[in-house]
Amino acid sequence: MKLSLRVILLLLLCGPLTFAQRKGYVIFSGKIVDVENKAPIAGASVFFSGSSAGGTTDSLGGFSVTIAARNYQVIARSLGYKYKTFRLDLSKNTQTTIELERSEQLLGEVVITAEKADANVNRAMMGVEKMSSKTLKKLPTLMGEADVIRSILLLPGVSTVGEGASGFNVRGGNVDQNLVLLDGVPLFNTSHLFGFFTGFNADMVQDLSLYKGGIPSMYGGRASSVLDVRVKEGDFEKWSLQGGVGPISSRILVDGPLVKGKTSLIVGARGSISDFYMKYFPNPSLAKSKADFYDVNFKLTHRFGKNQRVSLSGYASNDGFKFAQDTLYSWNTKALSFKHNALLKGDLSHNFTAFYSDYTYGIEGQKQGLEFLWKPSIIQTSLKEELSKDLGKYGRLDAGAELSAFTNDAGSFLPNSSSSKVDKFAMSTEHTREMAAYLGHSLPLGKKMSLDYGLRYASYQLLGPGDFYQYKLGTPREINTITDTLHAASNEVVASYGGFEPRLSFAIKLDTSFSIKIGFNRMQQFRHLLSNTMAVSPSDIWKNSNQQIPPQIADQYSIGFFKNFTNASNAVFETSAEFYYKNLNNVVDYVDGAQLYLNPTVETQLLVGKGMAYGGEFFLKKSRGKRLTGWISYTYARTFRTIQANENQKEANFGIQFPANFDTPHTFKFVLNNRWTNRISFNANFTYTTGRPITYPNGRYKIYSFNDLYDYAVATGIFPRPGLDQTSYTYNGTKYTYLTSKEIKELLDGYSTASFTLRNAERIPDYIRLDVGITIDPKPGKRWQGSWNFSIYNLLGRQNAYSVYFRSSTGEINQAKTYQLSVLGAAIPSITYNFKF
Amino acid sequence: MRHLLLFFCALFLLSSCETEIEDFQTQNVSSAIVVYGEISNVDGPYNVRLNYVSAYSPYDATQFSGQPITDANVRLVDGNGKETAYYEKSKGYYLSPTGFKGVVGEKYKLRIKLLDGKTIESNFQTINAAPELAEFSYAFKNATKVEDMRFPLTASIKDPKATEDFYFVKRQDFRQFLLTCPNPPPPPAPVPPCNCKCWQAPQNTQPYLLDDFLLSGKNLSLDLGQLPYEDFNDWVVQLDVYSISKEAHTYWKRLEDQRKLSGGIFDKVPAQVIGNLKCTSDPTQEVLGYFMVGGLTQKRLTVDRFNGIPTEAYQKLLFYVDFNNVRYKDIPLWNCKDAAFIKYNLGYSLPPL
Repeated sequence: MKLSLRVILLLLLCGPLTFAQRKGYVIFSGKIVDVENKAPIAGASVFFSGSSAGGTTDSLGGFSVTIAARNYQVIARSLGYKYKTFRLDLSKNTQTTIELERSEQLLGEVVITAEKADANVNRAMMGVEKMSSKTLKKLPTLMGEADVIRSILLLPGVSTVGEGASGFNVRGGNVDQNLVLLDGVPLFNTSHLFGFFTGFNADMVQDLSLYKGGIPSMYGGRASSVLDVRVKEGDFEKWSLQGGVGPISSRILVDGPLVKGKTSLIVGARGSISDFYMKYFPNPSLAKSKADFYDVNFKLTHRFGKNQRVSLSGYASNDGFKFAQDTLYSWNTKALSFKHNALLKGDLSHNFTAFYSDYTYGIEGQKQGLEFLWKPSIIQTSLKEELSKDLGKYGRLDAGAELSAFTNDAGSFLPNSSSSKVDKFAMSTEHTREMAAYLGHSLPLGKKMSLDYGLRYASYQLLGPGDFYQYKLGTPREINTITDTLHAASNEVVASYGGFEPRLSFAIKLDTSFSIKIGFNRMQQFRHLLSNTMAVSPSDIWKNSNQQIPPQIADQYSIGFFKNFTNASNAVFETSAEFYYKNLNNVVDYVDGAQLYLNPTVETQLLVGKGMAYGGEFFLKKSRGKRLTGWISYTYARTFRTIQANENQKEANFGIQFPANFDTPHTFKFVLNNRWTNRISFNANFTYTTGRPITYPNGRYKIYSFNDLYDYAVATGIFPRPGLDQTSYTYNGTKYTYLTSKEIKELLDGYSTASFTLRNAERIPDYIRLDVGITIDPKPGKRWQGSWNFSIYNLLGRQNAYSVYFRSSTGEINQAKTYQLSVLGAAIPSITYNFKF
Repeated sequence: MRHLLLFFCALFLLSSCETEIEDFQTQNVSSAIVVYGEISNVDGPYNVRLNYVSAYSPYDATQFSGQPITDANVRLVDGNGKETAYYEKSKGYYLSPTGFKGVVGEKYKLRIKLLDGKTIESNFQTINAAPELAEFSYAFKNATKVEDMRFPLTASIKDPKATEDFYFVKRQDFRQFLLTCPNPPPPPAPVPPCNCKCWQAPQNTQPYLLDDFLLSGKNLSLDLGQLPYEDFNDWVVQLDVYSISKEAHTYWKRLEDQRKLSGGIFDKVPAQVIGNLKCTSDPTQEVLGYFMVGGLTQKRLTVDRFNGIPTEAYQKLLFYVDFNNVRYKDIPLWNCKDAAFIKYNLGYSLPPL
């Protein structure tokens, strides 16, 4: 491992030196900034007529492109801005600043746009979706909350177990396999209210990128996807205040310059208000319930000259849920990060990040005499250095290294009052270290082809101090197959894993609007969310890889066809068909009835198996149009797991392959944004999904454990015996009751339970939902900008099944019944008012 | 997690979240055999029931019990290899011989040979020392309305400190009921004897499952709830407390978890619950159920609802009894033993303990 790290470092240092400027070419460099506040625009693109060359700005808004010397029509554009085009004579090296104007009030805005109308065709990468904050706010909402994760669920290849379930699933991956970065800081829980809403404020979001495949080498740590959410910076020129009031929560956001042109601050806060009306519910249990949440973000940015700046960001999120004063569920995240970006030379930029994050979750028991506290946590401290060098004609080189330390406290169970009679139960705190280095190169290969390739090496170590169990080899792991306990000293390496993660994307353009791409990426994951419930819960624990649980490794192969059309009125239609196959190694599963909480030998409850996913995503998007924009997608996707018995474990589902809980083969999604007037737009989205898999009973049986009395009565002749029953009739409005003879006997009845068939062999009914919304934008030019959003979630009022389940009652009458549960089974209207001044 | 569902229903202002599917049917595609039996240190006879799984049709009463498996050879084997043969009392219902009794500290397993040659065996399990009840008592809780007057029950198991213990508790209630006697015939006809006090014993299949995790050596309380005050006669609560193995406890816990599924967000994925029995002659033959071995303590508590009740409360009760027709005054009956309209009517006496 040490050798390979050296190789990477050597590559990092030498890579940029292997290229030099060629004759007949000039360097066109400069910055792209916001016309109003002069803030640099990161991720903006520069293109040139008649050339396939192009550049993207770094986090300081800087770009540098090496291009053949001649006259060009230059086009600069960025998400949320009007594009700008101008002629430029590039006969010598040129530096310039391009100012872009925000596209807030414009007609013909985009719903989801890439860097350029045909960027989807041009770039080598595929499986990438980008969304601006404006798009986010235009989508119809649930209870008035613009929501990041609900919005990405509208993208092809993204699914969920059901409404209200926490997290999302990308191309057949588990919820914990998504790397969700909030300004570079990974989040371990992305939900408010158990999963109904996203854990961070959509107002703070600048834009987001979802990498389903073609994941660049700079990202790592989770097996399936990356959701990179960038947080806004404060305005450097003027102060503004914005906020909103909705039925679930209210929000406020303040931003402006602390030192004009130099230092800016943005602070956003959001808090729930459901507690306020909860107490008015007639049900006493509900009246005593609580459902609090809040989140706060801030970002302080300071510029040193033109080419350097530092920022300090913080994020805090908290949820508390209590039902009828029994048990309080809580989860919260606190994160603080520091960033330094600088343009070191004309074409080399650096980005240093240091952050600390603390995710604490758990349960507080408040039952009298049994008060307890259980609060597991994960603390991550990371240092990350990223370098990016523009190689002109030879593309762009990215390199970096990352070092992280994790403290994973499994949560001790503690008595929480002097009168509590529960015992303390100590659980261990595990320490791990992760190191990663990467190198990535985007290389144009002539006019027709481009290649993005990269390599990441990630290494993981589970460290002492602590007790770690060794299990007898050759028999399934159980508590009584423990052969030895390893008492590891502080920093002693208990288990280590590591490996290379190659990333590759290649595109070939068959004409200016048609390209074919292929891609491969490997991802490793050393930390696993243990959840054997249908949807993940906020009290699910994270478990580090150890000697028994290897890292999860996902390999994804993909191929995509991209074709764009432009019609007479300049509307752009993007179409694509992407196909993928994903191989998941070492996926975690569970023994039947697994005991995951407060279990020091939790590895005895875990099984390691294989997973696979494949699918095709067909996408038609009208990304640009005067009034109407939107997209339609159809996805065929399957995902399966196989947990076979081996020398160290038993099998699950008899070793037979079964569909994952979120396997939904057919998905049809439709998103529409229709601008009626300059200020009023209509939005709708529609989702059809095959019902998710479920385990159905194949029969029912009784356990005769409660029949002593019946047996006694039969044995002694008490049952059956002659008796008298009452009968009645009504005559002339009067009821007459009399006695008739009837045998006294009772039915032999036992404890009723269902016999189940193979795992996930059946499906719940299909899911269909239509949401609509109308957004009224503020009047242009006014200081106070008020906007309204009216939405109806689930307009059809369809009672979509969340699950179908089987319950038997106990007691005198022992019946088995079947129920269907709909979580949001009615049309839910909402109004939100947002303001800004 | 049912309360969570209720909470979200309220939060999102919904009228109905849960709908019953009344026409759900499954073909009985399972050929699993269900075995259930128990043995303890309390006098037998002990029984074993053998039957097949039935189809999942919620409303078909004839489907309640699966087809019994008859003519099987059922034997109990102890740790020394000594076998005790059970006899078939009725179809699929096998009993141990009279006088046979389990011994604390001895291990037992069940061995069954079916008519078709299949053999089923359980694993060996030991009868643990019978648990002790630390308390088993009641109180009277007065209220303004009779409907709110209650007899709260308190019971707890004395858990031994040193061991990891698991308990399985059955509860059987016996309610004494009164019926109204008819008016006697006019003289000179003799007054017939009137028996109006009998016992009713509603069936209860709800187990209580306890373990001493984090509470070792403490008194583990059983949540028995409260009895109503609908008449002034006795109410007897019987507890059968078994000390069982961890494996048996896990088995029941899993059944209970699955039985109480609410279909909610955090429900566990249901799966077949396999007990401690398997078909040794044919590994593909699924065997469900359990052979449970455990030390047993049986105790009864008589709740006296007549003596010690404040006069005012008692007067209110008399009015309540009359007003609510608790004693079926419209259909007088000479003999309460004959009342077929009382479910689980046992007659004059309680079964012996």
